[in-house]
Amino acid sequence: MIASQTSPSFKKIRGHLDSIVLPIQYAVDWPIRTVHAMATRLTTQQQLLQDDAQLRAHDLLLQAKLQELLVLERENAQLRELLKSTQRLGGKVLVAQILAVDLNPNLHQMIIDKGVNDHLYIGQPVLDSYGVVGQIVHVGQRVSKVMLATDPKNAIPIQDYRTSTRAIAVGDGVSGKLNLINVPNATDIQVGDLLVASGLALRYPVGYPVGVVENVAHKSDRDFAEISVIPSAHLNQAQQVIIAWPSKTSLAKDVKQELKTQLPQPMSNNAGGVSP
Amino acid sequence: MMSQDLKTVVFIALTFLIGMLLTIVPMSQSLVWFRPEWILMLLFFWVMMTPHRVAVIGAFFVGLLADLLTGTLFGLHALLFSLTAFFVLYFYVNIHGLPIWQRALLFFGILIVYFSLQAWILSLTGVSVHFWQILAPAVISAILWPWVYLLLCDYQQRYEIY
Repeated sequence: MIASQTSPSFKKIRGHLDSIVLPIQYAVDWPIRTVHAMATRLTTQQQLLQDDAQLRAHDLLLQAKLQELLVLERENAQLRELLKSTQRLGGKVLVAQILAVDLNPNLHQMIIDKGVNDHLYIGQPVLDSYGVVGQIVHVGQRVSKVMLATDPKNAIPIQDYRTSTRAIAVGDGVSGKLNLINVPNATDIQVGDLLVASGLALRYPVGYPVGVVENVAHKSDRDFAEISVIPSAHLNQAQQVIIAWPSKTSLAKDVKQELKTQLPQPMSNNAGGVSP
Repeated sequence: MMSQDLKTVVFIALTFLIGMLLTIVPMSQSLVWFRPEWILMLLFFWVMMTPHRVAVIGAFFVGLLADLLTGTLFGLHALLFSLTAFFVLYFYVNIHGLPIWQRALLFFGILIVYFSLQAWILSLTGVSVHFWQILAPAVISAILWPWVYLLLCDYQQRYEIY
């Protein structure tokens, strides 16, 4: 047990051992998936027509929004050009299925059906279409384990969308929520604020939603505010997740280059007595 | 005689396989803390009924499989299952004299110790565990135990697993 907790080489062996129980896991996963597939096939025509009409309306709405977005995107690119910062998203993404298998509920982990064969790596961000799900903590040959954002060991650097205040969101464990740690009482974070990943850890994509502030408590005997956050991602209902490859290397390169050009400047500014 | 041995092992292994399937079947988020400890129930039964087939060594390997299945620390279930098997074997004669409801009570005691130890070891490795969520599966398992016991007794007699 101590070996499995501390030794890194044992983690590799564990990865191979995990494939022993893979048939049992698939034996549970397969019938559930088949039933889901059958349920989707057996929808009535009425239902389909209704869905179609709804989706068409939705599509129209999104098209209209897209027109606005195109303009905004160009404007944004221009502004970023001015600020000399990098593009936010980009890079490869991959859709993975979640195996319909429960692990020990104390662990806040789940299994996805992609592994070394798909070039996943430890620490990779896992998202769904609503927000950050978590990160990969173990990669096997065909399956990987994802640590959810609600795990107490998981921390995400976040930014308040309204005020750009930065903080760190740590999983709460039992309640299925997140907590912001070390936020001074005076900080402007309010109930209902959207929190997005700040990208400071170079791990989660910048600006991807993490959660919404549910409760802010100021206690006079504490130095820091107690802020609880409901995760945006649908952690319990999701069947598919998105695995992202944030363009980490290009970001680091750009940062280095930026530092190189920026470093002499403050000195010359000080010499001239002009502050930007 | 050999075929009888093989048959017994296969039939016992089959129950454990079903137990393992039940252990990882997905449940709704509100019920997830009420999952009975199926494998421990099976282990308790088989060690009590066929101690020459399933003993500490068998419990250890079943435990290793359970660890891989539930993603816990490798060896956690193995240790706890071995301890349970050892306990049952040590008090084998006493347990056999007990009526069924007292066995259920004893099993509840074992479950409490089992889940407490599990929570303790998990918390040593940095997993946050809450006490009331330990108690819930213990109570559910103890309530289900007499029914599982009767079902397994029937199974054992029908297929003559000794």
